[in-house]
Amino acid sequence: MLQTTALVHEAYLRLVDQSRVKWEGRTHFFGAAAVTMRRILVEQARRRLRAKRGGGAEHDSLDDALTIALEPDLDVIALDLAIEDLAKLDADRARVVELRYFAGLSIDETAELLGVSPSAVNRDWTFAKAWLYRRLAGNGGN
Amino acid sequence: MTKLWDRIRDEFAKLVVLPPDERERELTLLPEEVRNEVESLLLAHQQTQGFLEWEDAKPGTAVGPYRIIEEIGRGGMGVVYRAERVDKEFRRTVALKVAGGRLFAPESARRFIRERQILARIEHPNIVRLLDGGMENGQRYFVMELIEGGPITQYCVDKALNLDERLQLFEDVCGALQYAHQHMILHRDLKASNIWVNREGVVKVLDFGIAQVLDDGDGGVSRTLTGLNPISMSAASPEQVRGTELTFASDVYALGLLLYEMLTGENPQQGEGLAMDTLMRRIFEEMPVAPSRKRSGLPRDLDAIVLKALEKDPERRYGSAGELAEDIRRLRGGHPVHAVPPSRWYRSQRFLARNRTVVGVSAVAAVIAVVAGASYVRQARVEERRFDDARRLIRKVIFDIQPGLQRFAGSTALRKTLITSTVEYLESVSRDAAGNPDLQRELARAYVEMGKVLGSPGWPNLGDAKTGKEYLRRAEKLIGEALEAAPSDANVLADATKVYTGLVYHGLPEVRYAQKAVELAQKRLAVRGDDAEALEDLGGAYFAEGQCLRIGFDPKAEDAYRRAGEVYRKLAEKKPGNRQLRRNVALTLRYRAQIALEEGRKEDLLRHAREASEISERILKEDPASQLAQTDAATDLGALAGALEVNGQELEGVTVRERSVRIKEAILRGDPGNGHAKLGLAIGDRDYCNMLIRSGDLARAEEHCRRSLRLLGELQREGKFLGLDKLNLAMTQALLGKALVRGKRLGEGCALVREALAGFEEQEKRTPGTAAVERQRKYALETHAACRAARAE
Repeated sequence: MLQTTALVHEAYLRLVDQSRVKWEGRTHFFGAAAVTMRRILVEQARRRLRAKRGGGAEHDSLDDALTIALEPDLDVIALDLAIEDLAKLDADRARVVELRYFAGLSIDETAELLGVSPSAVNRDWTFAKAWLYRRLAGNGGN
Repeated sequence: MTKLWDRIRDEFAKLVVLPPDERERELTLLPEEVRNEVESLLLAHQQTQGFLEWEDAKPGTAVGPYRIIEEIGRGGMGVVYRAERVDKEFRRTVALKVAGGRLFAPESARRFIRERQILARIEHPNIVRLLDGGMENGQRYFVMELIEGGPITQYCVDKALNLDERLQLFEDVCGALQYAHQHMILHRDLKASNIWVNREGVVKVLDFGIAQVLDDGDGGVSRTLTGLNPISMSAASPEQVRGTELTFASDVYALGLLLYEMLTGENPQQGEGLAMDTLMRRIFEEMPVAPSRKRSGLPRDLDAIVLKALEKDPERRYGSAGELAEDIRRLRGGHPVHAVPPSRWYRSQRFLARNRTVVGVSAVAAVIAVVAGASYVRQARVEERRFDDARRLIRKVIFDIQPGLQRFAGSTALRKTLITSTVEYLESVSRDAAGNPDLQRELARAYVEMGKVLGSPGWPNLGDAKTGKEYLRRAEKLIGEALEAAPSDANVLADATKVYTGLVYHGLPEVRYAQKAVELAQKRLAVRGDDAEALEDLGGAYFAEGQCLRIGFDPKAEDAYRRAGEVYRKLAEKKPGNRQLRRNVALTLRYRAQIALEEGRKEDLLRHAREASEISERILKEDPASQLAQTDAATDLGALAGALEVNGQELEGVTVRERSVRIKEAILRGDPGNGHAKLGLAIGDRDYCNMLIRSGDLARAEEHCRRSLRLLGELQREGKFLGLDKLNLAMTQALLGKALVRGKRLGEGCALVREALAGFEEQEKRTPGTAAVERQRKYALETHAACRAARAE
């Protein structure tokens, strides 16, 4: 799993007593964090890709630390594009993925954030994963 | 979203939970366009195990010797499981807490283990015992006794306890805290959900000191770092949110909140729909309503006790849990209490007035703002232009968050984003800073930190030295402006000294900067007198000057190091407990010894090397587990051994060399993956081997040369230090060959020397004209000649 995601989770989300305190803008913050993390990871991946092709290899060794933390099989850029495709079809399900994967929220936290039941989030999550997997594995899809 | 899409989703959700055969049957009943989609998604679903998922431990997973049964709790710092340890004879059920966030640095792991051992020694009937703990794949876990029961506040409600019973329970909590405080351990996360009452009605405080251990994972990060602490708002003291140092009084504050909740059923810092602004005001500004006004029948003295524990100013609270417990006892016994009822409002307000700036934009809000795109802060800038807030944000990011992030693997991207956001912000503030030397000096220091983080040669950095230097130049410009505006201001002089010294250390090693730093430090001492900080800055400036001069092989470097040493020595005498100052003295001596060697001053060389290693060995004795102290001692002892050889005192040289090698062994043992440690031992072994050959102890010489050879081979296979690998290997081969030839084992010995000669040649091809290669080759040729002579016989 992504260390960076864990990082956001660890470093920032726990500033809030998650089970009890609610404050205005919390949804907004988590949302922003998810988007930010997604952007960071994608940029990171793009840059690494460029470096591999020969340009600007200056930062490479430091990025290795991150590479280790990435799921080896998963191409972040492809995932990003796949999530974008999903968002075109179904923005709500894409949002669940963003919150779960990029902000590292649990099912319960995501549910609380979106104001739906945990079982609904679980259902959406299972579905979105299957859809994304199929898209990334390259067999079919709409 | 189309109707078809919704249908597909619904059918998928329905079918995915069915057993396979029913799934097949249901599928056939669907219209074709839906069926194909759902079928292919179900197929994909079977592959998604672990896809995009967190690594949560599932029941049955083994963590160390424990097996997880089920999850029983989850919080900011990790997940708690019910787990069991199965040994031959007995089976024990425990609570196992797996900490979030991973540690990879071996130093962190060692520290974790050490701290854990301290915690394991805490034994108190009201504190949950830490039974065990460990690391698995960089993930830390704690094993604690499993408590069946519930949170103390729940217990008070469920059992409908009367006031005295509640106070009795609270006294027990205080007793546990008092015991811990006597052992110098803070709890730091003392919320109601961490204080349980078990089935026998006994209070049990959970998670003792774990916050501290987790927080202190890295050697370089101070205990007081709070930017990344898990803060539970329901138990957070103002100083905890603000990010200043935590003391026993911080735990007392949390106890005050707990008592408040036990008495009134409400926690003033908690509640549904509590807005961030309100929460911050409650933590920093407003005193809570007296408990007796929430619940009738509570004595006024109890109000006084609770409110004294909840003072915003830590110094006005009870000094420890023991004092708080004492007042509760007095109240229960009908004696007068120490807390004084509300004339203190006035003073409390005064304290607030003094700290108003701190309350402005809270640190927490600022941190969140950075991640969320700095919009919050930008707004604050546009609307309020409050430089104090700007300063707080910068400090928070640079001095707390940034170093805190370093210890997370893979945090590079996040660190860069933080820095980019901060720089953007800095730039917008810089435009407004003209004519404000206080802001300019702060900004200059911030830019130096940015330069350091991006590409300082001596620190873990982000590998962008070019941008780093740009920031350093900007720092130079800003501090120049500040100096022009306020040339005799002690604060400006202090920061200017630090900025110029920083330029030297973090990427612009120019003598003129170092000399400017020296000049400014001296000026500041003249303005403000002999304070320790100013002296330390002066020492640092001299040292920087020494480093710059040394880069240019300027003989005046010796002078600068000597002055730096004098300053540090003076400071170290004043603060004998400060190891850093003594280490600095030793460092100046180390460099002076090197210069003496280069200039052929043999006696100075020996004198400096001896003194340096005396200091380093003493520091190591005081702090034997510190890798830095080990490395220092090994380095200085190695230099001393060399100095002794140069001075013809080889006998002592051999014993000193041995001490150095022993320490290097310990370093590598403690950190087996550390390439530098491995190379250090390989070279130490070789030097030792060399001395042993000369003193005629061929057996031990062989032993150490062989180990050197083995370690160098390992490094080569690991792909580390490849630049000079051939030279290193060849040098050891030549020495080992020499030892063997001396011991009349010509076959292997001569073969090694031939290999060494080939190695030197290869190295020569790769790095032509290296003096060391030529010198070493000459030594090897001597042995080679001996081989030939022996064969001729």
